[in-house]
Amino acid sequence: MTTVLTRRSLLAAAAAAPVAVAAPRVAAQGRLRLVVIGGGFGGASAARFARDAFPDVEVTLIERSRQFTTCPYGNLVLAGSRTIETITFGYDGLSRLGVRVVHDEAEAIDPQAKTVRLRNGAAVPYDRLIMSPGIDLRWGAIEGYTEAAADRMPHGWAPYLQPITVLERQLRAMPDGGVFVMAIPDNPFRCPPGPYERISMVAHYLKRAKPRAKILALDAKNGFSKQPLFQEAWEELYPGMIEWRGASNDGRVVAVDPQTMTLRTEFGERVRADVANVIPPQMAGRIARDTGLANQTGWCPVRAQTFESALVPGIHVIGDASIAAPMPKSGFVASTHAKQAVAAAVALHRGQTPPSPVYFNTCYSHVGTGYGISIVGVFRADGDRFVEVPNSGGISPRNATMGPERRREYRRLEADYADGWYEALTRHMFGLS
Amino acid sequence: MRRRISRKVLGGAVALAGAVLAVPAAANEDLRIGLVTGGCVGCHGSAGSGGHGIPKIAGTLSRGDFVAKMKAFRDDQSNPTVMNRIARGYSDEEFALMALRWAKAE
Repeated sequence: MTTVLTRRSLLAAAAAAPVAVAAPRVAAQGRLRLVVIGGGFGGASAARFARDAFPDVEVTLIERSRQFTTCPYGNLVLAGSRTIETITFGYDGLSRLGVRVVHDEAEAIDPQAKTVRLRNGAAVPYDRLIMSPGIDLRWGAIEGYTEAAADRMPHGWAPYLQPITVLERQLRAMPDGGVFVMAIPDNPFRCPPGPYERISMVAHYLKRAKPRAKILALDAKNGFSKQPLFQEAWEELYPGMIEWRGASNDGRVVAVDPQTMTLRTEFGERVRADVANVIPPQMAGRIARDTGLANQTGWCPVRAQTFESALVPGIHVIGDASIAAPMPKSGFVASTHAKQAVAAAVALHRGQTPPSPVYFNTCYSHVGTGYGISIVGVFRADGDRFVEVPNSGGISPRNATMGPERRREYRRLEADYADGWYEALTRHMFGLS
Repeated sequence: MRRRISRKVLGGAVALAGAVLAVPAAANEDLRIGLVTGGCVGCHGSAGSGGHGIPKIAGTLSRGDFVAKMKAFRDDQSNPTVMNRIARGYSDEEFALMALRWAKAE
């Protein structure tokens, strides 16, 4: 006789065994201790999701600062339409939800003993570790661009190293008729559309306050995120103000001199700046590199299903520090890495199969008043690789594809949606809603 | 007439299509709802209430209508900004999971 197994009963049978095996282990060890390092978009989202989805898991968030200023919307501080206070958040919301928030620097990880050593000397034990360390800047990768040089030539690209207000003050003090020069790095780097939103928001400010000033953007690559949309908008909103030079047009900056406020390009041109915004090449945050999670590129290879490190088991590396192309290094997509990594970490600890992932990104950029543009993407795991779902995602439509009325409406809606996106995401990840 | 979609019917479809075998069906379904809708909250908010012109999605449509709306976005049948681009990345099963979180209870 043949036993008929319906698909449903097969599923039910498969479910019974691993749970029965896992139960005694959980009882013997107590609650699963999930530790998250880094309270930015990835880490705060991980802590929030772990608290919501797994009430029986102990969630600890280790973050050096008591306040977190976002990179997104920093460009609106330059524009003069936001203050830094409105893009700065605390961790009380996450504490209220039951996340144990530890404000200290994670000094070192012992992956064998499964502990995080804090600067105060204490060791925090974990069963699974989620690391969202963000980026460090490669000082010296551009000759002369040291930490000291960044005071005169601000990067404004890592708020915990330098608040955006340093660059803001220099922009405000710039004379009318001056030149705002940007050095923009090659891929991969944090926030691919960010430099171009910055060009837009600086232009927005200059148009009003210093209409004779110019922006010169020196780029180490030949193309960029949302390029046709940005360039159409610049011609429309800021005609004659912005010059963008790609790598093949000698756009790559190889050296800077903060004393003379000059930048030197690959083919030897010396450019004098009134304000120099140098965004240098980047790498995974120090704790990830010190733990051996980064490869020769300076970034951290991870498994596409789980975000578990490909180099050190038991540690999941999410956000900008991870190698997750074709996903961009963005805060939004980091928040979806976070959820998958938490679900996978819990499943792996319990001897279960991690759920199959769907990663999602939405990035809005402000280009002018009531003028926003977007890029979206849906991504999945295909074996060891991340892949974008074919025929999905993409950027807002070009001007020529819409009538004038629809075009104005579309850009205005996306500017409004950008504000909603920023508010929804930040309130969610910091446990404020 | 639109067919009524119960949680059980949706859940069955979800379990059949799902790749995860080693967790109890109900817990697994709740987790997958949390993961699949993780992107929704990034713009529509933790409670799906929207803001700044972003529509409220919580408790506004029946499950059937919610799924139909997502399919219409995917097929470019309405005139949205981002939702058509987004919906093309998701499966019918995932629309069902989204409906379980956001649509009116039935």
